[in-house]
Amino acid sequence: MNRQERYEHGMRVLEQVDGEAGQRVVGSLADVSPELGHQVVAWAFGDMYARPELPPWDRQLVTLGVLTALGGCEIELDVHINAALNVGLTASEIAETLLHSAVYCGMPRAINATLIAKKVFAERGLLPVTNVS
Amino acid sequence: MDQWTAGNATRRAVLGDEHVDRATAATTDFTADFQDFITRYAWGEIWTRPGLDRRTRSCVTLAVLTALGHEKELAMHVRAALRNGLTTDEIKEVLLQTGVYAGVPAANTAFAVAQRTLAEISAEAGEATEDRG
Repeated sequence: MNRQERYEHGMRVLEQVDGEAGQRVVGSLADVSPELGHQVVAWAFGDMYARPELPPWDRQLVTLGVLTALGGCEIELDVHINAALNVGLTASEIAETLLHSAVYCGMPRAINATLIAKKVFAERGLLPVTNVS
Repeated sequence: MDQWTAGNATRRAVLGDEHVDRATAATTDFTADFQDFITRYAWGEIWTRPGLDRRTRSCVTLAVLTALGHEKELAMHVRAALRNGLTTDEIKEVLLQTGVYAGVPAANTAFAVAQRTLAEISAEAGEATEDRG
């Protein structure tokens, strides 16, 4: 794939996974670093996300784990918690993923991520989250 | 079943008897409370929860450990991931996915650790076969 084809392919994947939120992030980069916007679409989604070896469901879990662990990724967590819901994870499964992360990255970052999840869940009418146990 | 007993059983199922026996044997007065804490909290409280299966918990754990650069724990959890049903190809995909979100250096380190661990497992399997022969 050439540069333009990779971008177009990535944009199709991005639209499926992230919906409008992903496009807003890319759009917000347009007048400051359009190249970063291009690369998010072309590489993160066109090249990586579309690989068939791991389904979107698992990729979202992995991405949430990384963003939670790193800390300071609130904007991206907002996008990717929406994306996780879009690819079929439930609010309860997302909360459980962040609970699990707490063991390995510490409770403060898990709390930060969970409060972003709460905001997204509220916007989508998914509160209160009912845990499976 | 109390939390310690449930945790010990789950820890053994995920990390293997050999690892847990080694950790138990190495426990000192100084580390005993910590061993007790991780058995009850990480294994008895979190890993035993029904909200996500063990394979999924392994995906998230690998992602977090990669993001934070915890090499020793990552090696342990590559073994755990195989035990929990992830294939080597799926482990590779988890690490590839982290390359975009945790950065290439974190993924590079994780690939080196995982490669070394998979080679060790392969060598151990060879030795076991020789022993039987």
